Amino acid sequence: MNKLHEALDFFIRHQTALGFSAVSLLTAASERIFSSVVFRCPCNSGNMVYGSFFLLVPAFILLLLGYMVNNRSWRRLTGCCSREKECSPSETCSHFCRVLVPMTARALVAPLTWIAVALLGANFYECAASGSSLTKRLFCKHNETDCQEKLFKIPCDEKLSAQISSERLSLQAQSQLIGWFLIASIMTVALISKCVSRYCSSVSYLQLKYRKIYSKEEKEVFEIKAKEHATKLAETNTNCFFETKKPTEKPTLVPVPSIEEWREISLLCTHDSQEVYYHKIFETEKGGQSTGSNEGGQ
Amino acid sequence: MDAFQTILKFFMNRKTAIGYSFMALLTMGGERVFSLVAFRCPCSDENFRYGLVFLFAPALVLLVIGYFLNSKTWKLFTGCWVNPRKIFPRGNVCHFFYVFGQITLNALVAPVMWLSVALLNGTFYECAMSGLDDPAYLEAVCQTKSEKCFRELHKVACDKSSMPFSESDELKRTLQAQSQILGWCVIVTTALLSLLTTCCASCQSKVSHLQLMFWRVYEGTEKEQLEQIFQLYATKLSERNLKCFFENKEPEPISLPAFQAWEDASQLHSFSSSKQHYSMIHKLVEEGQKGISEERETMLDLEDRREIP
Repeated sequence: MNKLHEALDFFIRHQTALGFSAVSLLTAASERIFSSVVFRCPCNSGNMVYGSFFLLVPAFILLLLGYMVNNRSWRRLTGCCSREKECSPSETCSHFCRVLVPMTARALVAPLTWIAVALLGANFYECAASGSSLTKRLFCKHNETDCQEKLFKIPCDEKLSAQISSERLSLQAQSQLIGWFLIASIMTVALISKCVSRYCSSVSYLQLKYRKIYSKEEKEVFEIKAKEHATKLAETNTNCFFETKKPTEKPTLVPVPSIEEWREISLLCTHDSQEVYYHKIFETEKGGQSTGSNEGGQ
Repeated sequence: MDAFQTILKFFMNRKTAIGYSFMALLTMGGERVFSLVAFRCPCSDENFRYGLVFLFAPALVLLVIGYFLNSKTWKLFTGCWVNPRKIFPRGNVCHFFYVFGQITLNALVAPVMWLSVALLNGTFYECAMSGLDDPAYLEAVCQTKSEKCFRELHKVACDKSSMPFSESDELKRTLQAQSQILGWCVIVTTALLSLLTTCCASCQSKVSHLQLMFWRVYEGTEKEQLEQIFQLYATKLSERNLKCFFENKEPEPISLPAFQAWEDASQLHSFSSSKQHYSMIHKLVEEGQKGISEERETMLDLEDRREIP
């Protein structure tokens, strides 16, 4: 039991990293399955379109899924069209960028994994490149009549590939080189951007760590309190409905925050995107908004 | 126990994603089973019809099942024959189409999954298109092939044509490639459309995100509470009735909601930012049942000067 607790603690502490690793593993596994089961290069003039579709379209779909699944994006977007201008345009623009960039970075994990694994596997690239005019120019130096036809057949015939590409790198080798180069550049960009964001951070390391822990805890406690409050409110309402009580019998009514208070704590305009909950609910309570909580009881 | 609770909570938080993945796996499994067990391409002039039926009929069945299983459908349509005003209330005619649109979008998930999986597999499309008689299409596919291609394309799916192996293999691969490209297009279009609709719906939401979260929690909790209270009152009422029947006594009164109260509570609810009611029952309890019928009467009076039947 103790071991299970320890393992669970480990998983909870590193859940972000483990989550991303799980997504990458799943993407890599799906790519391998697609590559071996679904992918059949047509070996004709449609090679380029077919190969590029399998290489890029699933990556695009994974990007869209990444955006849809990211809860934080919906937190930022909900209700922004129907609100009056609560922020100045320059504040909104810079905040929007500060929110969009990390969101896109998180959504890009799965697509880039797909492209990297696909390039390392080399099937899709080989099929696409065997139909491209650039490959034709590189490999068909002597302008043989059936050179292009032979190139189309490369993905379906391994011996042909060895024949044609004896002097230059084969298409498979090219694909794997591009794949490793992509992985190396992604790692470098990730490291540099993390360094830059930490360097430009307005708070110290320990305070940043505390803020992350605080916002997570506040979110959990908010969910618990919301469930408790919703249960009380639902019980009161359903009891009143069945006993057909008049709403003038006030003592049993449950206080509910007003719509302005909800908007206030969901507000976007802050200097640091991580401060939204740390400041907003904290400041709202400090500013003595307790009068609003009795509004529901009137 | 604590560890088990944590694991359960982890999965409950991601139940939508898990639900959709499970549905996708089920669709893939079902498609594989159909493709291997039930599907036998006739390799004649009937290819086109056969392939299309296998491609679209299961999608239609899944759509109908999707409508059946959505409780909002029954909430929308119950009692509408007796009182058509229920689904087209005065002053809010578009609400029906909005709700029906939401139900349709939810029901369309399974058919679209079926179509994408079937197209990515390629078997059904290959059979269907090899039987297409359109001269322009035949010209495009059999462009660089022998004359036999025009006559024997429908036999390619069963490997029964008299064309050389390389030609028939290439034709099969071409048809499969077309099918898979079409499948990816379907998936991309669906994903783009759902992202755009979710974005627009979210943007135009009258309530802020946290209040929306609370509203969802409240709806779930109210549903649970209703079931509990139904159970409680049903037990009380049936006990009283059976006791009075067997003991031949006069029944003591139990207060239950009136018919009109049930009607009002079953209406579809839309959030009003001025009043902040989280459900119809919440609105009924705070404004009183009379308030709602008076509101409707007043609206009818102003427009029709007629009484409600």
